[in-house]
Amino acid sequence: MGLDAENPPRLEITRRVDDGVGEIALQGELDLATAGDLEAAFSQVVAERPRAVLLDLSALEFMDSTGIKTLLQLERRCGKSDVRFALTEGSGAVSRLFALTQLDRHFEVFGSRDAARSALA
Amino acid sequence: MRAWRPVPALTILALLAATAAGAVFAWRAERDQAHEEDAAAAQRAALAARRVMDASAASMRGVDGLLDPGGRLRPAGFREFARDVLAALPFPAMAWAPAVTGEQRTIYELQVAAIRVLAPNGRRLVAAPRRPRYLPVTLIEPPDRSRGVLGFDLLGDPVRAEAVRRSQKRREPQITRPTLLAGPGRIGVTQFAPVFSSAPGPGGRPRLAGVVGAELSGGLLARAVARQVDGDFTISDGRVLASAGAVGGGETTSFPVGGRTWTVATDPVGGASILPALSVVLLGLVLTGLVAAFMVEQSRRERRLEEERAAAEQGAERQRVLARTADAVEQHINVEDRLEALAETLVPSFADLCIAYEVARDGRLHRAAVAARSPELADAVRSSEGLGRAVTDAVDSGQAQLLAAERLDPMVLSPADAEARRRMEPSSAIVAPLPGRQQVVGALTLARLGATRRPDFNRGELELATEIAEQAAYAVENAQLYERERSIATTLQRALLPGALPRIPGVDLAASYQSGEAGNRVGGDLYDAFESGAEMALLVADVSGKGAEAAALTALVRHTFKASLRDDPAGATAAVDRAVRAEGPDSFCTLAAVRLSAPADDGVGGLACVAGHPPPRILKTGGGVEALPGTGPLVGVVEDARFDSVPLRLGPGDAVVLFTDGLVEASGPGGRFGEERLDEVLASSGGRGAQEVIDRVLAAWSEHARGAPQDDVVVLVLRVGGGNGIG
Repeated sequence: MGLDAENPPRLEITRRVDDGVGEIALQGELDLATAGDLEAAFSQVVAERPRAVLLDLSALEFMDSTGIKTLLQLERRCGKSDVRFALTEGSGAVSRLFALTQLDRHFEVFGSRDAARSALA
Repeated sequence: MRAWRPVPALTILALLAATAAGAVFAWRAERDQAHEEDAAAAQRAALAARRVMDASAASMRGVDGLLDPGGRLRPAGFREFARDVLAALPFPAMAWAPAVTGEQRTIYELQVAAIRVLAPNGRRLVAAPRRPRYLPVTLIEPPDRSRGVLGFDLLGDPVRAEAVRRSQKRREPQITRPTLLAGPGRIGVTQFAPVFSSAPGPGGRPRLAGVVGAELSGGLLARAVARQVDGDFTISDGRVLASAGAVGGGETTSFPVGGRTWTVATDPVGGASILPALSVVLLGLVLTGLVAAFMVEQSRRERRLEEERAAAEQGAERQRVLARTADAVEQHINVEDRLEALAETLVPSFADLCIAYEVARDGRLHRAAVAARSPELADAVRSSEGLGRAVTDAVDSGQAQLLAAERLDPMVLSPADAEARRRMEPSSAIVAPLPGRQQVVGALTLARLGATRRPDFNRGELELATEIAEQAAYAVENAQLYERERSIATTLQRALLPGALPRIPGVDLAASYQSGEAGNRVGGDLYDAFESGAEMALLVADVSGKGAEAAALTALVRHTFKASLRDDPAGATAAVDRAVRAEGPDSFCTLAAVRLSAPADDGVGGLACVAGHPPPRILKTGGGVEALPGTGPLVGVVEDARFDSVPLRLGPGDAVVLFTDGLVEASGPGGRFGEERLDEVLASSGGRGAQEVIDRVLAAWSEHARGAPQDDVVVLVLRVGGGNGIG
């Protein structure tokens, strides 16, 4: 994938596994260039065998169809291992996209991290 | 590392020298000790000898009391005296010899025995010649020793006479020098003590009455001394008196007894033992051996460590080179750029010249990249024709070759390039094929030139070059695959685009498809416009997936939609949803579809379905812009998805605008193009023809993007009223 030295990574990912729940928080843009990083972070989280994976989109600024495709793939991978897959909702363009595609009815989406954690406990 | 090499040799030498010195010291110490012991022994021997001889000298004192007042010897007194001395000292006998004048000779001879002396040949006794005085032996104690001694004239024997006269002069016992004793063949000394009568002689001098004598044999003396002394010794005064064992060299001590000087010589008791010196040498050699062995082991270990470190360093360097080339190649997408990057990375660090070749689709090898130390050299190579046999050989055989200078010339460049060759003066080269999965995909030539004076390529570097070539082959193949896929996808997608738009009376229809260049794009956009019975249908969709995969899905969506469109677009969308869902969980699309009735004078009515897609706009002829609502989710994903249709109405001059998100998501220096900007542009385009609306939208989009690579963009506009003269 070779990062362009002049442009900093457009997606920042923080991940941790906490009490059986793997959390991945995204900040920036999820598109063709950065989707691979999300997939890699997901692999690392799943390797610790959590019972649920929570994707925090609250700080995500943009997502395109690659991002949608990646989310669907992650959901499928979770389903295969009986791991619950949930999202905290995004804002702005991301929430508009979710509304447009009605993916907010497809995925398990929570309003906040706390709400998600207590639901996943 | 090499600097400390002399130290072990010096250390060994030092140890050997120390050993030698130690041995010498040990030997000297032994010898000195032996000398001391010799000296002590000599002292002891001398002391013993002297004691005996002093004692014997002292024993004769008191002989004066042997004379009676008349000056005559009392024989009983003599015998008693003699017995006392003989008990204490190792004299075999003692004798008395009175002074006898010439006139008294006859009387004496009548009474005692003939006065005799040793014959000149020393073997037998003969009558003494006439002399004024004689000293013949008349008494001997013990008497059984008298045979042959009685009558023996002491003055007739020079040795004895000398001692007698000495004793007379000194008035004390004196000893002869060693001489034959009066007895069979024994060497010894005789000791004489003068006895003076009380009546003075002529001239007032004391008159010698006689002499007491005793013989001391060397043998007896030796035995007496040997009892007190270990080892060999001799006692002599120039002539050996007594000896025990053989003496040569050794210590000597001298002392005077009885008027003569006696010397005792001793031999070393035992030789200085060589054992201590030998032990030191052995110990030293063993120690030296151990140290030497240790040092050899050390240096061997050092050498091993160095070799290991060099090998590890070499291995690490190899990994570094491989990583560097891999990184450089990764930055690019197509074959030429990748090979260019590879060549640039390898020069000048690994080689002075690098030429990379690609096997083209027609199977022919062509030069893809050149990198050289200097631009002139690179130009010379680029401008040269041909390949060199080594390169074609490498491709044919699949084997990498290491070529030395002699074989280089005609091989690296073709024979025609004398000029390039001359400039190059290659000194060694590696030619390696790039092995793809099924066939050779290219070749790599690496050359080192004489001018740079670096060492020729070695076997290790040939292995590294082979690995680099393998890595490069992989990169080239992937790039080729990408290029092929891309061209297939593009071809497919283009093939799937509708041909001419349908001409529908009363309707102005225009469409534009901008193919994106943003990398290996995901998804394919599609649009379609067709007549369905008396009515019209418009479709714009955005399909997920890569390249050829997207193209296949595109075809599915298009045909499923078309086949399922009976009444309302929602139903057709649901059919598409089912079809896409059957393709797999990662396949999805978004679509916006509009079905319009045949245009009438008051416009056109219809139904629209918007599924997960950017909402199409209604552009009123006066410039008002309305967005249609979304009526369904992403297609092909959601379980129990529900799609709806909404009614729409287009008055004369109104238009409906469908588009894909590549338009509104287009990123440029100022951010995303956005729906607001689109609405602005549309608002300013009210009443214009369909194509003009498209042109204006695309112009704004293009200006926004400023040449940055974008995703695909589709814009489809249908305007009511006015004939479709454009098509």
